Amino acid sequence: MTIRLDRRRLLMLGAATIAAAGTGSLAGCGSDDGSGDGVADLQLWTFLDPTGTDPRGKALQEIVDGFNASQSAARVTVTSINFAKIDGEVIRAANTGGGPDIVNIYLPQLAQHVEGGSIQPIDDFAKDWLAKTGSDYLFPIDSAKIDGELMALPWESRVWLLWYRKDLLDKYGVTPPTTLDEAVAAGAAIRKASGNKVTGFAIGLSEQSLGADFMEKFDPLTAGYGGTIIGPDGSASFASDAGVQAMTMIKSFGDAGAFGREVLTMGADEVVNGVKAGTVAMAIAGSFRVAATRSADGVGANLVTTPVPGVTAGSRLPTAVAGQTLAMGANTEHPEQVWAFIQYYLSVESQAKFAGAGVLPVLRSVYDQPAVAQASNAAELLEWRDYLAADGKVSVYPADYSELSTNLVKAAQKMVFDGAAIPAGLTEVQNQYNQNRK
Amino acid sequence: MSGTSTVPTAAARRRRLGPVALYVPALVLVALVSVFPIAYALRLSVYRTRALRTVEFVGWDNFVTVLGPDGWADIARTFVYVLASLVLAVPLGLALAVLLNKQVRFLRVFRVVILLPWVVSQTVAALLWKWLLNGQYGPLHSLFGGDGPLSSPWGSMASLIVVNVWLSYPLATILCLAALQTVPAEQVEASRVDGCTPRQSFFLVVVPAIRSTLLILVIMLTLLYFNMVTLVYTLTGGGPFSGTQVLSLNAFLQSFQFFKIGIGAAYSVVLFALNIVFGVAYIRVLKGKNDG
Repeated sequence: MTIRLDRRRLLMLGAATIAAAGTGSLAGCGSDDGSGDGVADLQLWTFLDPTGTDPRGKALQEIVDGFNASQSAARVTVTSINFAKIDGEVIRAANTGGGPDIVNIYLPQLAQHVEGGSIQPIDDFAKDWLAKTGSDYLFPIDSAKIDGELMALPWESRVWLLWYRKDLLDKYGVTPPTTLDEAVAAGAAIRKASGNKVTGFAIGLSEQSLGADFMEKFDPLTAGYGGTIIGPDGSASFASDAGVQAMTMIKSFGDAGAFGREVLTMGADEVVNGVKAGTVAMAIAGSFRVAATRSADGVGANLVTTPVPGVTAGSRLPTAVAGQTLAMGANTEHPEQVWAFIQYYLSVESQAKFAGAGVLPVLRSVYDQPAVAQASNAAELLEWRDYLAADGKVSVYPADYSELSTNLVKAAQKMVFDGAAIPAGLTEVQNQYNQNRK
Repeated sequence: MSGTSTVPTAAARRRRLGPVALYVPALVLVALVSVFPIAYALRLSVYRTRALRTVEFVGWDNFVTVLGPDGWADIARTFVYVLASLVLAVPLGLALAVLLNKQVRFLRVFRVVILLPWVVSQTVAALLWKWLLNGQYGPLHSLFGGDGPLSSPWGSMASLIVVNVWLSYPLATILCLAALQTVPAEQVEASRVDGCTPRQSFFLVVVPAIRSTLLILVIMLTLLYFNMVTLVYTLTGGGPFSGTQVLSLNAFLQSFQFFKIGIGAAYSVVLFALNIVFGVAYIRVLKGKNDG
């Protein structure tokens, strides 16, 4: 058969192609019933990678598979995005009318998502569920409310602990510290004894990853001295006596030689990688990374965790309360199914699966489950839970927290290594932040 | 007067407009992917934004931030990064192209090895070099001693430039090699017969013959370096002590990490202006030399 293409046909063909392309690209945004079988395809965007080595990724895959098998109304597909990029990707996608149906958000970034319009409140969906389950929440659920609206539900608690490599401490004849001053001295002794090959006590001061590792120390230290990063009125308040004491303590690690300038290239990932590689002997790091770190060659039981010692013997440093949450995408077309998945994710069974991967469950009742109580890491999980319950400190994370933390770590670099005055350095960042809020 | 009309017939009009109509799809495409984003960025740059939404018109306020004391430091670092990278990458690419233009044994192996960095992504290259330069266990650490080059602002900038050159010299090599292969061997031989040394032949015959390619290469690399984010973000993140904080990185951070897209757009506009200025300057230099 021969088809003649005259000008009119050519134009019509072009117009049809453009229209088809436009329709196709629009249909590609957000969720749909792409399978054509009435099953809602739900996109879950998370930092966890089901195909990686992190046990949490494997637990996630089991939970998603379990949900997909448990009902026929929806099918969840996981998209894994690096944790440093996921927030930007989600906000950008949502502002173009697309984005995920379900999104994993780290609590300190929640306000940024609300301001970016990438998620929607879930009060109406969660009301009945919370009436039944809310009292079981170990995690202070109000921290997931922004302007009085519940924007997400935490599924993971985390505490920051003193990590130390027992084999390294033994090798250099150092005993685990019981106070912060002892930690300074122990870190300095290890670094000196190793010929500066091993960082005695690492605090990541890199600008990468938004200065998260530094903030995870500065925040609880400030709280330990009785202050806060952000005050009740939302303004920065870290240039206080408490903040100065916290910064002075961090500087003392550097001055004593517990760490050197190598920490200028370290973020949270590099610190943990250093612990795995045996080039970092001690650090303050999150409970959520313990399982993955222990699975590295030569680590195993050599990695010991304990609540972070406080200023005086017998005291403990407060730990920030933070964790991962699940939220509903702003543009989802299947809110009911999304809510069903969030409920499934927070079920006792799912929480127990995550507990097996070293995740601290958010529901009290999960700790009584045989899968948790009889797990090999049960004693450690209970110790973390008790630390969270006794010394957990709820922080305020404003929408511009990322910028604040980046500016603070830049100032910290100068105060620790460049001789900049501590009160002045903190005051400059605080004033700049408060000025920008006006 | 004859009866012929001066009014064009429909057929003649179609003939005249036909070629124009063929341009239209391309023009629409360019407008969509280039002109519209630039116009949108210009508009955003004069607004205060909240997340990705415009809130209020602020005129030049965002540019005051960008061109403040910290902003000028960013611009200075950007120039150091771009110019140092150019000064290293172009001669290196040309020198390697000259070597690859020779008929030697294992030429294909040399070509593959020399061009290999081209296939490495910026992220992978940054992570690879980060490991190589690590102050505690990096294989290259012993060359530098101390805490490693990435622990100081100048060492960090030097490392960034080296990695950038390592990533981009293959492009220079490919373009120079293609240009060298168009230079007639007779011209070079004639210059040698006329008494030129090999060096004189190269600089007085070969280089002028490939000048256009070199200029295009310099323009391409300049634009590439000015706008580079991934490598800087992954290798140094702009630190330490803001020592590698360049304009493109700040545009990215402000826009997509801090979600101050108005200020991010202002950074982008300044970058765009620098790209235009450099592009026009290069073209004028070439045009002047050709005219001369």
